[in-house]
Amino acid sequence: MDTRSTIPEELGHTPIRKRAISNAAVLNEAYSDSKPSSYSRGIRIDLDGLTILLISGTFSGDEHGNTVHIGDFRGQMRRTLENITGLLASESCTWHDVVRTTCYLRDMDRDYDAFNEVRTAFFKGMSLDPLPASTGIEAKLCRPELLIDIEAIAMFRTDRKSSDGRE
Amino acid sequence: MQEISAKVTLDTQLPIVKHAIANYAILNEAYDYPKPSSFSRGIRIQLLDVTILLISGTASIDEHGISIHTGDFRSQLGRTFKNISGLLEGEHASWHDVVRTTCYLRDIHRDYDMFNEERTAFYRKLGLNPLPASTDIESTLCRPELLIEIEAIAMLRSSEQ
Repeated sequence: MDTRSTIPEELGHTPIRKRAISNAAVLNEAYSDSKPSSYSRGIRIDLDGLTILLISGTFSGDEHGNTVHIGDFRGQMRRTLENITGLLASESCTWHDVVRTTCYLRDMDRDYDAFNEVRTAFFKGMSLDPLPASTGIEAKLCRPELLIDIEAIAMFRTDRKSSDGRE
Repeated sequence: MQEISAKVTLDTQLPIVKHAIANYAILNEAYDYPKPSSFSRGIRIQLLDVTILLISGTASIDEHGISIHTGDFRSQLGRTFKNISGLLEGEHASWHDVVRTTCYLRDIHRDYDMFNEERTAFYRKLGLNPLPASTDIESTLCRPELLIEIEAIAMLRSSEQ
């Protein structure tokens, strides 16, 4: 198990280039709620021409922090996807850059068909290819009225090389 | 990046440089239990000069593998933070390098306000900026007495000194 010797102990450690992602036009900051929740809506990481966006669990909240489309799974799902679109757009990228999602449904047995219909329509409307990798599971979410929460990872290059390293 | 391109042209695949993360002073090894659970407390991945630390789901467990602060949410969260701090420190990293967490609460409706108060106080004390990305959900955890479990991803650069 000891492979420690392969990493030199004398290496120094410096912070990575990173900053918070936000889009105040579509959703508020979690830490500006009356009861602050200390997380960023997402984090952007820049690694020598490669950018990684880690989008936090995102739900059907509006720009004032209020839950919208209470009791309406499809409405919540669309707003959740729009909020993620807005966060991606704030970093000049799109769903075409998303490589992975994790989708948490409050009631999987009841809502998974509706989830799949809305997601398929949304991704087809953008002709996403390849489709992101994804895991969809059931979980209770941070507000009792929430029916869907989606987190995502996007990756893109910020230089002129394509992903296989060619210019 | 040229190094990667060069390797891709070879017919051999090499393992990535990685090792298990541990901190025996605060947290035992899950595979040392009488009923072993086969995961590392974390994995360090080295990609050229970029270090990625994948911290496993971490809870209020002590150096002997015992659940502590049973029934006390705030203290369990405090110990969970301390355990993650210890795992990060073992790799010369800190919470300032954490880019993402996933937080699993046993009873999110009962405990989420307390969770937010404690997390906000902990991060403020550290002066974290930017705050990590996070997903916070309810989940039944691996031991019935556990009320909170947190996994984390940290990233930092390793430079020659």
